[in-house]
Amino acid sequence: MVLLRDFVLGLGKNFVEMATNAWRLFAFSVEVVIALGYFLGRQGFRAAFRVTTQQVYFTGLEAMPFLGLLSLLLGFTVIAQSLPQLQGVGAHALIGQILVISIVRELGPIITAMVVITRSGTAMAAQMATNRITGEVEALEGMGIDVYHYLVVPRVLGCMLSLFCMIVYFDVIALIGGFLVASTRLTMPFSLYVQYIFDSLSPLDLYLSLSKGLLFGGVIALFSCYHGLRARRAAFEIPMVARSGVIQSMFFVFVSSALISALFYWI
Amino acid sequence: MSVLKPTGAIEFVNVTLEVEGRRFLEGIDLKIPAGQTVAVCGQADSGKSFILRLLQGLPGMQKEDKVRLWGDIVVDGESIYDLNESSLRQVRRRMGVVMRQGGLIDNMDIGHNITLPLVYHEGSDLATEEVEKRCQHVVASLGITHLLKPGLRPVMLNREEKLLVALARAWIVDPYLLLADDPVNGLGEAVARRFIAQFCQCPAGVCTRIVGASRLGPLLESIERFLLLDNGELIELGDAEAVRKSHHPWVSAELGCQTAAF
Repeated sequence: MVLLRDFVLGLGKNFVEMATNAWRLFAFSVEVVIALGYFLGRQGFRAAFRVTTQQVYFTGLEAMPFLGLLSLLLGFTVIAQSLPQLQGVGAHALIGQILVISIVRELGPIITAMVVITRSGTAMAAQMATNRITGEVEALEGMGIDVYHYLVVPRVLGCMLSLFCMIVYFDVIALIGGFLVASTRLTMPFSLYVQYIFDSLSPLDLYLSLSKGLLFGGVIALFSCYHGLRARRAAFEIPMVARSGVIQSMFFVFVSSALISALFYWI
Repeated sequence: MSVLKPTGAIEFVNVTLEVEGRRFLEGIDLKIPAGQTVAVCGQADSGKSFILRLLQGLPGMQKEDKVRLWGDIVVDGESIYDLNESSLRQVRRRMGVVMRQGGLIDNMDIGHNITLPLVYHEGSDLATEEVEKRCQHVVASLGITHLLKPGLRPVMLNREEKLLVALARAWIVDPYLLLADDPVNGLGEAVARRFIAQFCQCPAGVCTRIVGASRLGPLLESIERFLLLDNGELIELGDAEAVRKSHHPWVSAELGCQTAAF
């Protein structure tokens, strides 16, 4: 009986904690959206724009070599695995469809988001937590600087812009990787390969893939900043908040990706 | 509030502050006329920082922090806590703050750290040359021109340099209220004296200065008025001469230590 009571109490406590966290995240997001609304028109735009360009450099440009290698190998692997099966049934024309479905629709946005979460999401959460613990956030607020406007919104915008461009880059390099296999295995000319791709690619695929870039970029930065700024006093909190940011971002990316696929391609 | 021409006159009216269930201030009444230089002294963790932070509207506090405040804090005749977030930011624009560890932004070089409040608040109205001119003027006044090297970050500075850069950052906005949170804590006697003397140099116009301090020695030569925070109560000590004559145990212990050090 006591065990059951403890179990129910524990469950209730966890539920209340989850609901409180969800409410705080919602309130934080509202503040960020409001700050996003006056990002351009406000006095601090010049200083905040500098932070945005730094974020694009760190999240987007610095990740390009790694992301390029990853996408090339992925395109190569997908086609290397599917081509023997397609050749067996004489359906190598489906190569375009396979690439569009696997790379453009799903893996491109998800893998790019994973790269951004692990590289930039953790860094953002750790940096925000350090800013909070070392008193930088307090100093900024004390100088009349809006922390949402100066610290959070530039990171959200920088991450959205970076992820958008990174997905385009990922898709193009992965398609080149696929072509390397197709041209060696099937001696397929580039023009035919491109034609197969374009025949399979619908505007909805492109629209959804790039919209995911904006959505994932914004949410990863938002979650990372939220958890980072929740650190309070001690350095041991930094890895904890970084971990929370990563887990929540990953969860959102996978769940929303599945929901989007179900909504637009299944139902 | 006269945001355009503030003078920095301050009044605490029966202020009581409780943070996370602990009372730091107990019914404090205090008046500081514009342009005065005041030290709020007391042992570590006595709540000196809260007096400074209350003047800024408690920056850095999170919504889940359990803070209870009674009474009123009035700057230039208007209550700080009647202002909304946006008006409060306007008021803070010309409050200069030097935090204990400097509170500098680690991923910015020294020049960008100093000019940050100016660029943020007046970036669209001020030419880059004007920002640089004001920065050069402030660092030259504080004798830290050598720190304006591109790529030099706060992490590469010693504590005195960090505090001077934080002072330059506070000074560049031409503040009407200059606050320093226990800057002398952990500094050597000579360095602490030098820093307090620099803190007390007047920026253009009237400026009220308040320094929180857990040591008395380095302050005696430069500060006009001393207050002691003891168990949540604020005790008026008077000027440096009155402090030397005070029989308060903390003051005696502090001055005794200072004599022993010499």
